Amino acid sequence: MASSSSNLISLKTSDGTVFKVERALAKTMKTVQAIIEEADANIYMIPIHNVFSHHMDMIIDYYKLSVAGKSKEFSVEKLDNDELKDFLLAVHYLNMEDLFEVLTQAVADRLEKKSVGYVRKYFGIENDFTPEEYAAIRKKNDWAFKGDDIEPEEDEEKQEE
Amino acid sequence: MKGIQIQLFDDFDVCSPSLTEETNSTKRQATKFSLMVRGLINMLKILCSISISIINKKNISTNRRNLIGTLTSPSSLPTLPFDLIIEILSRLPVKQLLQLRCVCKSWKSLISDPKFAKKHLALSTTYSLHGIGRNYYCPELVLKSYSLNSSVSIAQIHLPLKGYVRVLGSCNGVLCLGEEEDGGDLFLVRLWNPSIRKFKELPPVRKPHSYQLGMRGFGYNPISDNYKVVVVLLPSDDVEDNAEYTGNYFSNHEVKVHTLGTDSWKSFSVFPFAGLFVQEVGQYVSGTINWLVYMDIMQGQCFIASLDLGDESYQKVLLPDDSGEVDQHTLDLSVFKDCLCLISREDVWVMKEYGNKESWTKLFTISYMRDHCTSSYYNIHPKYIFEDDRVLLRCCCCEGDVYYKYISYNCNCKNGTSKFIKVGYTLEVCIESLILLCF
Repeated sequence: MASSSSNLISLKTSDGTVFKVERALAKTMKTVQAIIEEADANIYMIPIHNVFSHHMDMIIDYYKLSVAGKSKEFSVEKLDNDELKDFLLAVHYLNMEDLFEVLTQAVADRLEKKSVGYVRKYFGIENDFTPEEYAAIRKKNDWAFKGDDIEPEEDEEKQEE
Repeated sequence: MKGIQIQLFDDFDVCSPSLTEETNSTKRQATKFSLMVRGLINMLKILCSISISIINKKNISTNRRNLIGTLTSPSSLPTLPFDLIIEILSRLPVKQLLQLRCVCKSWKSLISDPKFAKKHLALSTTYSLHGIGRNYYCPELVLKSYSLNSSVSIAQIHLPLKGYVRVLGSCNGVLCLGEEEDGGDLFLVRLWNPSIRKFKELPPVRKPHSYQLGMRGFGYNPISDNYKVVVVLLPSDDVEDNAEYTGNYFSNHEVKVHTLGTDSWKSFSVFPFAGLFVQEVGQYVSGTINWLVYMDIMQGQCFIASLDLGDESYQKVLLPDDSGEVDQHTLDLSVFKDCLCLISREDVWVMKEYGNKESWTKLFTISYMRDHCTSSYYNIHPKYIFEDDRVLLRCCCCEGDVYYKYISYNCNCKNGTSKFIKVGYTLEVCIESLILLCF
């Protein structure tokens, strides 16, 4: 069993920095929690591979905000696309449910309404369709590619074609 | 990973062409030897290719299923594993997902997969309104979709259907439509998902002569992960005229059920209830379809007839103990946040725990009667409640013809945020979903 005398758990990030975090925060990281529970002896320091100190800073920020009931104020706007993906991977590794949902939603928000080409580039995916296959799929869902055909409406709805 | 260069001599020929036909035995030995060597070389080739593919498997690419992604140093681009991509995609709008089927082959199969549709549905929060009807200029059936946020028309589809089309039910973003053939004895049924504009024809119901369509419903059975359509046929001269006489809507009725994926309608056990009138379009809630049944107009007694699609059983669900609070003469049954919702004049009740009468909770009261926006209408009836305190009201207007006007009304700010949709036919509310895409 891990040392229960102290309320702080030491986590060592990939770049060697040691963070002393509250036990409650460590509990939100299911990966870390599993390591603690599996340990026979006291664990003094838990290494978290794949997580860097700049990730931990943001994780601690989020934790503080959510404890204060202000989790909606947490923002990842300042992160560029690659930094956001990086952070998402770290949180995924640590298996933190709430923050994971926040981040996947943040990525989805950035991708919403973007084009097929943009999304491919974002995920680094290659188009493996032949030109004929691609043309066939595009044709099948042609209406989905047309811009929002929203017509302005006043009190009376127009009888549209 | 650097490429491994392997040079193998493919055609290892021990026998040089200059050998003369000296001795056959020498030649045979040489052939045996070259065969052995060839065999050894082939084995070596196989072993090498196995080890290369093992090394390749350790390289994680975006299209592999893997729980741990490649987390590299900040200078190189992070690639997300496939299951993270699934999490992100299931939060995108349906129209965009249809476009993203063009990204690559694995995304095309993912987005068309029914399991992905279920995951997306669980996270979907976008609703829109859909109506069916006809207009004077065009004899074809018009299916019109409206965005809830702006109440503007977002789509219009024409179908060359001549018969009388009605909504049989709505579930998980799919509407079930029934068309009565003019003078025929077939009742044509089709499913329609307006957000992906996909239709699916179902086998028609054979309706015995002088029978007509009564209660109906469409729902999802979570136990068998499948959809069912329920249709009740009533002898024509029993309803309305004889209802007062027999006092029972349910006498001599027949129940037919169709399970999606099968090719027929099966007869089903009849409702074990009695009642005078029924709100005919069933409301789907968590594996059950529910209909409001009126027992007596004068005393205003009602109950909810429920059909459980999983164990195929009927149940009576009771209304809240009213003691005057629930006005049974102006009731409407609908669904709010996956719970049965009862609208009684201006009061909204929600059944928090399905089947448990004590869990009926009065959520709020809609006071629109004094609002100038709605004062010119009569017979105002709340039809649907949305999560952001907006209510869909159906009002009657009389400007020449009597028709319905649907108003999206914000309960909190009562001044002028109502939007109007004028329609001559009923509207259904639908959530955005990918269900039916795989068909």
